[in-house]
Amino acid sequence: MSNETAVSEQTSPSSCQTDGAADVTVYGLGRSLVAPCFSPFTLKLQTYLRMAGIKYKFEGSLKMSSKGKIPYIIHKGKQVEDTSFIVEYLNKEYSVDLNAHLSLSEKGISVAFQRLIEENLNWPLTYERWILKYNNLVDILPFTSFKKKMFKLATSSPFGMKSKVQANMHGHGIGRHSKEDIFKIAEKDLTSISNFLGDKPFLMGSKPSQVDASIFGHIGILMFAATDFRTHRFVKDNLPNLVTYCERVRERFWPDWNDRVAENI
Amino acid sequence: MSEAETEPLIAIYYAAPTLLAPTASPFVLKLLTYLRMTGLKYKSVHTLKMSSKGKHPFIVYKGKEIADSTLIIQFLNNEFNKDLNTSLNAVERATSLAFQRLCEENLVWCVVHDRWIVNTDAFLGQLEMSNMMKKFMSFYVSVRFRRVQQANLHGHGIGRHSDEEILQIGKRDLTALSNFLADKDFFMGSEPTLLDCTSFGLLEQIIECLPGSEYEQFIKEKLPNLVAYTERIKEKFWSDWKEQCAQKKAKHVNQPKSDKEGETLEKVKVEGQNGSGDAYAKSSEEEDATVQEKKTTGMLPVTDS
Repeated sequence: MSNETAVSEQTSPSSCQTDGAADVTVYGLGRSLVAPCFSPFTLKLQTYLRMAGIKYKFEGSLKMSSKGKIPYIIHKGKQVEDTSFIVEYLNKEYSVDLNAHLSLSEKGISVAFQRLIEENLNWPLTYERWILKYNNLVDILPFTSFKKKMFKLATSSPFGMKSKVQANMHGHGIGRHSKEDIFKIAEKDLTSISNFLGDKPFLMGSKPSQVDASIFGHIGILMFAATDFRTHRFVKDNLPNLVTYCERVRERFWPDWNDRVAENI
Repeated sequence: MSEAETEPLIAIYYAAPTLLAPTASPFVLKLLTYLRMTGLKYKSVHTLKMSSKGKHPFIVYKGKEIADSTLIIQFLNNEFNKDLNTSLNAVERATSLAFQRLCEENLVWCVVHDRWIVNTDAFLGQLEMSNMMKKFMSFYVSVRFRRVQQANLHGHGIGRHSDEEILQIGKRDLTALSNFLADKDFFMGSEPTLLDCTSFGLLEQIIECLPGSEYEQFIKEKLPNLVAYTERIKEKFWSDWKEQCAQKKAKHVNQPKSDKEGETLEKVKVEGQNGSGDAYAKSSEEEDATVQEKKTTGMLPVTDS
């Protein structure tokens, strides 16, 4: 299946995800009750695969990659980690170029917005998910009440996810800001994406491109799976074009969204 | 534009100049360039004391400390009614912010990684201090300070990648900057804007202050428009660049202790002073810096949040 050319738009994105065997298996934290996957980077990766027409299987798993992160993929027995490297790798393997129609300057801008989302906006959203709204987190997980209790114990323990997030935020630098300043940073980034998008259907114009996977990964989760966030309310109240953008991308690449979320136990 | 003769209002706190640049920090250089672009008068205070957020730069204005270069600039914009982005429309401001994020939240970490993990000796070679102090610093950095930066790199995420992968990430960002700049004079057009403060602050560090690094080689060979860009900014806003760098003490030139040190000094001389080799005058400021460095130990910030 290597060097397979990208499937044309006639192949439906929803048929890319298979529950049977596939050359590409995506490993990430599993589905939630409100989204096909819990993590923004996993949603980014799956959206890219659907945009590129690459068949894949998604396995929910708590096992991290060798770099301690998710998602990662196994392709023909080989582990590839970090969504940026995974995308570059699959672009080569499958001769995909979602940015072929962009000028050099547009490609540059596209990288810049990817960094804005993944290296900056990612942090206030992670902060809201794992610190501020931590107690609400179990509400969207498809767990029994016992498993929810265990999850809370594990994630709030000294080496659990919560303290890792705090340490990572401090290392990155954003953790040194006040809560209000962190929200201001998020609002500035979201407003910029909205202003740049304007009334275009996709970020870089009338056709989707690679950066749309990054944007939908994070803002899709924010709009569909984090309705109690303060940043969610900010987008809903102030940036209507981002709301319609998320709905547009979901309709086009995730028409099976509701079939792919977890069922309540 | 040089520092004012009259009593300045804004005191900028940061570590001493190096032999290659007025500051080793991309964020300090960003702030100083902003002040020069806006014509705001300032006074540099060289210190190893950190802000309340544990970083440089910070300012003290009317007795109040303000930390973080972005917050400082926002404050000064409000206080003095300045806006380098006044000519930009909403789409341009958004594009400008995206590139600032690329520089400050991603590419800068490649510099941190190069300086503190890969090419530490080359970085220490730029600092104006005695050979014995350099030996001590080299030891101290490897034992303590590198661990701090490794934890930061790990927290950010980029530190989990291999050296080669980090290099690829840096090259991708540099290529994006070069593609967007193209043949424009400044990033957003024919006039400098706030993004130019950020990108000059960072690009200058990469081009001139990472001697021998693969980034330096990559930019000079593949992205000449970025090199021309930094020279353009220097000509316009940093005509006193050489005078603002630390000056080499005369005795260091005459007494290299080993071949390795001599090589480091020679490299610094060629890279940092364009072969002029004449800047060996003492100044009271550099003495204060050396004394400061001896008193406190090894806190040499290169980034702020």
